[in-house]
Amino acid sequence: MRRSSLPLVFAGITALGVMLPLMMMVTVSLNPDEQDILISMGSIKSFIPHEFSLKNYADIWLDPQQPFARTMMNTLIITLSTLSLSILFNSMAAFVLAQGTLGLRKPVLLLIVATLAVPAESLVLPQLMMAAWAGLIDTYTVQVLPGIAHAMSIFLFYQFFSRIPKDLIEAARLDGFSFFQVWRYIAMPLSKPVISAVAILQFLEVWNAYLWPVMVTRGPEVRPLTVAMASYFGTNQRIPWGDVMAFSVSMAVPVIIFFLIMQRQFIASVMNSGVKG
Amino acid sequence: MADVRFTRFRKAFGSVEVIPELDLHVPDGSFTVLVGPSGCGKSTLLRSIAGLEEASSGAIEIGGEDVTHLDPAERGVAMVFQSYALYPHMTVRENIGFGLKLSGLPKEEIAARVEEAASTLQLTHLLERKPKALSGGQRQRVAIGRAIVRKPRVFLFDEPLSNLDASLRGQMRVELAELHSRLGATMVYVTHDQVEAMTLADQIVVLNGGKIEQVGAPMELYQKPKTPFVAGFIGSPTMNFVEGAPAKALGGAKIGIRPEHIDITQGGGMWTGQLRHVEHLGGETLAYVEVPGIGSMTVKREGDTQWEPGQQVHLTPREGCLHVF
Repeated sequence: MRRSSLPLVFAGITALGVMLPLMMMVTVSLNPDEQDILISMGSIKSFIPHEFSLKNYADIWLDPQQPFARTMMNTLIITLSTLSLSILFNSMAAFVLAQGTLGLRKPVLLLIVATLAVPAESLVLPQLMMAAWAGLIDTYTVQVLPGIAHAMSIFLFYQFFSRIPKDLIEAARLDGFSFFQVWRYIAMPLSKPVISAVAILQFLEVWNAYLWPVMVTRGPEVRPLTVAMASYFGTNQRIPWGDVMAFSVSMAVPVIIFFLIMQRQFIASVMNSGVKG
Repeated sequence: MADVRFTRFRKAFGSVEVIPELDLHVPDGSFTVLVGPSGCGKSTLLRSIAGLEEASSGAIEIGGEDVTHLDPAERGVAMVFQSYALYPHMTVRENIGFGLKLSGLPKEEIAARVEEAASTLQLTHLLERKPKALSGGQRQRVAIGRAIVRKPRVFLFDEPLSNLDASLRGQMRVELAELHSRLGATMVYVTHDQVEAMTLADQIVVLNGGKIEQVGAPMELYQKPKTPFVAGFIGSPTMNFVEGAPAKALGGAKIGIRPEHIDITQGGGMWTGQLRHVEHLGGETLAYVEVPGIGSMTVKREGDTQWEPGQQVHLTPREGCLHVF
């Protein structure tokens, strides 16, 4: 075997490892026969689509007990609100830390980065108490607020903003830009790759969030997809694998579309972080 | 247009004093060049006019108005940076006009001013391009355009040509000189290149270690340098210096002689030396002569010569061209 083909083999094996569960998810979701699903489980048949029915999809999309469209809309509202507010506030915070003139910028940044080491789970109880005290339980607000201030986003923006050439900022100041206008008209338009990176990272985080929503939501009105999906596992009945997988596919598709839209900028951002010192 | 005046101006970064107290006047409509070696404080002085550095003490006036504590945008100055500092995500048109847009000027006036600046700088056909699609010279012109449209009282240039190649630098030098005579504006220009200083300036300010060594017209600095530093900095190749006994014989402790003011002959000169190296530049020739008791001396001659390294030659400084320090 030629040496140069070795990485390709490794890449192939890795890709297969990633693809197999996805293939199984799609295969099972298209199979309307629960018996057949259980029989096929563990064999090669569970990875190769052999039935092409949308029955499972129709089941979950049209379920009156658990309105799929509503929960999907809830997740979209929560995710997009968190993302836009997060990008707005975290980029502002990072810009002040990177280009501002206030003292204590370095210690504040250190403190923010240090919060990355605190497990999110340990903050959940105090946050729950605060949310209850503020009367925010079972609202969109309570699901959006805790995700806005995001240490990793601030750090990524900070890294980018601190590399903006000093001359560019000074030229803008001479041109009459205020500090806010430099952020709005110079820093933000230049930071598309970082915005994409932050958006993708946080999109996944909020889209897949389970612990916090399950603690602060009561009914289906504001409940996101993750919590709705968990209800399939909550009873002692047999798990309807076809429905679960159709639900999973429906939930994963928006994430894949979002990634495809953002991927070029995201890859540019990841590459830049390696090349530019 | 306006003059610029520094009065008892001092600048320190923490405990490091970069510019000890100085006074300086940049006359209205002049092209003043601040020149000196790296770290001499010339850029700091320019940035202080712009308001990008705060004075540690003293005052800066522009057009008789004290601007010491004003924000950069309120001083009525425009600056061209060495790195061009163009906004990468904006087109040439936006780069030139964005400052005007922020100041709330009507769209029609912005468009008119941008068109005017672009035609002055021959940028009209490039207005819709982004900076990355421009050459170095074109980028520099856009940076100058951004300065022109604001109709500033004072133009500031921070080594604007040092990122360009030699031929483009020469071309831009001519364009800048023409621009100055057309606009008649006060321009303050920082460079470490004495050729730029000599060719562009009405007034040269030679700085050394934050202190002003001499202020004057280019030929005044060339002909009557007050200190050995100025004598050594202005003029190319660098002036020769003679010290000790040979200097005493000429009437001073330290004598400066420009390379173009030394006669070189086969016999009968004041000093005898050996040709170490010869540089043929086409229009002129430079000879490096090792003279016992003095050291290395540079001699410049018009046209080509038949000098050969190793040859013994005689040198005689021209009368009336000696600089006694």
